[in-house]
Amino acid sequence: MKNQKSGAILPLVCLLFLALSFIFCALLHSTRVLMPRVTYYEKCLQEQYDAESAILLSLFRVPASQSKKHYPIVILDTLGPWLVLKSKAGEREVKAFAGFYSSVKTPPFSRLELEQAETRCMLFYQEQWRKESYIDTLFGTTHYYKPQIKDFPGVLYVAAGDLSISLQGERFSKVAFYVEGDVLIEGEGILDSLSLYATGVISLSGQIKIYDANLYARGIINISDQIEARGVFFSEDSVVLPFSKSVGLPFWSNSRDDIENKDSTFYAVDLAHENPLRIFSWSVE
Amino acid sequence: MNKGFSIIETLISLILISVLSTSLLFFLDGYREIQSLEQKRFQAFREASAWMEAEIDSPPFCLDYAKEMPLETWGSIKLSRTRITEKDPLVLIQINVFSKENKRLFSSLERVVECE
Repeated sequence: MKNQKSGAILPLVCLLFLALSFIFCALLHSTRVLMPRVTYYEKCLQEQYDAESAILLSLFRVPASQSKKHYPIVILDTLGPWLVLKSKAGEREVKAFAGFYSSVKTPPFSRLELEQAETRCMLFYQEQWRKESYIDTLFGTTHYYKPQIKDFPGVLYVAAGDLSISLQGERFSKVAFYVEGDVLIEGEGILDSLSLYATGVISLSGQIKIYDANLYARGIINISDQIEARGVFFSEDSVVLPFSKSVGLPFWSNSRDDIENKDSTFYAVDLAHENPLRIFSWSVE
Repeated sequence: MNKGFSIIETLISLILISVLSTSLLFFLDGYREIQSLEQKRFQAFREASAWMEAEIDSPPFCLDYAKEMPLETWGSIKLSRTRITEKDPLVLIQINVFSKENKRLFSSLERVVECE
């Protein structure tokens, strides 16, 4: 009986040894997890900085031989009147939107040059509208919509009729209308992208945020005070902006008030001539 | 025979347990130190990246410049600006984070920034 008791210590020790080994392994593992955390953040941030550096060097046309470091490749593209520079930062893509930054009071370009740039910009958007495949076509009179995300087609063609949209506080990623008549958008909501072509008048009112607007109207474009927008607003007549309105960048319109009351603004790439382009917006996706 | 074996067995067990306990204590102490060092390094890195963001947000002068200064959290940083070309308003900003004790390089960040 006594012998059995003393012999039972060894399994107990073995068990203890096993348990402590498990604790050791767990601690070693957690330390290894902890150690590269800073290194990982550092690597991610440096990749982003390298992509941004490459974009800046490309914007100023600095040859790669000038820098000791090897930077990622930069792809140049245009978005309407602006230049887009794209570069890779690991899995992510860094984008920069560039334009020509100028004081409006002493613009180094003529009114004719501005109009020519507007025409080129219009041609770009007309091409975009032509390529668009409209999900639904409506005919005649006025069409009222209270769009809901689940059943709203988003891309509409209205032939010989007006369109009235009342937003109900929802967010839409893409909304595009080609309307042979007037357009009214009101209510409350967020539009990530709004492309709008109207042969009549465009009116925007209510608490609406538009992150990327491409608007063209043969008639007047009316923008109320509570609208928050950035993008291109062109009218064959005029764009009416409230005097106190501040708009997000990039914003380009042919509103006389907009041009005369601002101290400085970004203009299209093709107006830049000898002037350097400046980046007005960065994004990491 | 049985009694003698049990004494040896007990002794071995005691030695094993004491060795394991001591090493566990040492390990826990080391682990705590590493964790604390990593925490400090992380804070220093965050402070260094805040410095870099400040350089990006407010364009610096287009002049070569270098300065070493202590960080508020831990360690020190060396900030340097180097003009890339004479004609372009661009500088290369480098921020190196050094440890407090032996000035070992812990983190390094660099970015091209527009200057005035």
